[in-house]
Amino acid sequence: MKISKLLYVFLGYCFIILLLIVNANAIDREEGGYVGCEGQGHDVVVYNFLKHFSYEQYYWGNRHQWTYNNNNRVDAMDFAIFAGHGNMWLIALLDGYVDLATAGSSSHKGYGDIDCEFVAFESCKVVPSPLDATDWYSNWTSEPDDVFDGLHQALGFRTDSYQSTDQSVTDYFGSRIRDNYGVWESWFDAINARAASDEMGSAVMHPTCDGDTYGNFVSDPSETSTSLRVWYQY
Amino acid sequence: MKDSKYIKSFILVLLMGIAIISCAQKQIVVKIEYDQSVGPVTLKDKTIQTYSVNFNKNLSKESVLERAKQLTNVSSKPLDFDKLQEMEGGLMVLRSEKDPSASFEIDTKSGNFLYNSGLSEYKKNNNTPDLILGEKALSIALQHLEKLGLLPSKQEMNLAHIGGLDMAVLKDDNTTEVYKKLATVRYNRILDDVPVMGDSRIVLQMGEMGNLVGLIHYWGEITDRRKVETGELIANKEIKAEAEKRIKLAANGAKRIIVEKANFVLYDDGKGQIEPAYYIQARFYYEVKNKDEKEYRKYDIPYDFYVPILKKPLAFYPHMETANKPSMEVSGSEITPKDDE
Repeated sequence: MKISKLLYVFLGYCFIILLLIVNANAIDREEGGYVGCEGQGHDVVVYNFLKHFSYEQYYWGNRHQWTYNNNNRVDAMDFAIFAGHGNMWLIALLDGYVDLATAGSSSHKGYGDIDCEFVAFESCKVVPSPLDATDWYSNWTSEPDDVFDGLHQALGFRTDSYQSTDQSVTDYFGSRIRDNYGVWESWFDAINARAASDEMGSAVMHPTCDGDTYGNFVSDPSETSTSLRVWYQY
Repeated sequence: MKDSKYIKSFILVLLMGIAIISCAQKQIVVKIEYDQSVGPVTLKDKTIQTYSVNFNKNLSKESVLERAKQLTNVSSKPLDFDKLQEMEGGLMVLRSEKDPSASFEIDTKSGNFLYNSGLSEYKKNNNTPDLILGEKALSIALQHLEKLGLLPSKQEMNLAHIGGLDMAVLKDDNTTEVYKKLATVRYNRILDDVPVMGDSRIVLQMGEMGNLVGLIHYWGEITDRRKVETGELIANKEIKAEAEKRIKLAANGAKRIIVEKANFVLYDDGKGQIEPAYYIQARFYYEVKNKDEKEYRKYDIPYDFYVPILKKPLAFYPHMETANKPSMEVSGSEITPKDDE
């Protein structure tokens, strides 16, 4: 009797240990979504990405999230997504706009010095390619106010992107990120599968991070690194 | 006594009037302009039909594997055929352990699929050898479709795009090197001379010597086409009114609004319905300034949507989708960041 009791206690103990090991190995990452404007469906665009995760943040967009408070917002997330109006290195928010070329100028620096690996901009033209700007790189990496401070990849469009397709793109993209396909490759798969024929994606990244998935990515690049590559459709 | 009552009423009405006028002045109404290329919104002389797509194919595992093997034979890139995953919603998926960008994902209800043979071998700093681009890529794309038994009726094929995928790298001397990686050819669909927007498409990606690298085939089998009766349609003026209503609702803060497209199209909702609609594309012009700045930054964005023309549409349009609402920011809220690099 005593032996069987001990056996049950031992088995129970093993079960708890097993649970702890499984949980320790599970991917527990943070996702945040920021909505640039009201009344044009951008909330649906952001939500359609977030709904594939047990996300941490889902906010109407304000400048501080991308600038002087990014350690508590964008850079506190592993994956941050924005939907709203955009232009080259610019995103529009409810209280103004953020120039991504200088968004890392505060004490919170850019993105990646705390946690963020990936940002996606479901917006027009935020990530230019060499076809759009000869100097497509320095606005991402010029110290001391740049945003690539350990960030792995920034995904976006080099052309316009449309409201009629955005929410479907982020939905499909979210499912592929959740399922651990390559990050930038998933962005292009989603654009090919759901966007219009004149929407062209682009993805700028540190070269060592080119093979990242959301479940398995390389160590953060140095905050001062200026190495970059950009994949783009034309 | 009576006079003072009248005076009070008069003052009240006057104050209300001033309040209404000041509110109206704050809400600047921007006139909607139409580009010269935009024709009248009218359903007159249009072929108006709805189409049903076969979403009851219920493809077996065997036929899914057969299709996947056919694709991998053409691309010469294997997938893990012994690990077919059955996902929710009738999706079946094959992947590759070697390359996280490789996959074959098929909707067993419709047969629509996405195939990506994997991009890991394209990430070196070099041009893809013997890459065939431009018009020449077109004939190779058609050959692939024919070989795979996926070439649709030519009447339904509308060449939408010939392009590609490049990778550019920043070199040590701050110059850019561009590497040509893939060729892309995309077909959109036309049904009875009306362009189909929404899900329908065939997108091919090709690498070395035109080898197939990716194929998206969303080209549902039409099982029924039905002529729409006049009584089922909304009036022309209602289409325009609905379009302008939605533009005004969305254009908050825009300095200028120009409607650039108002096209009669079919909309494929990717759920079994292809339906007639008006596709509207407007451009909003904005000027933005942060509180601490003097100069405005100018930018413009497209705003596009569909106006269903059926009184009782069956298709599910993008504007019908809803989502949980985001939270408003709580001032000073902070979290403890965690780095799980």
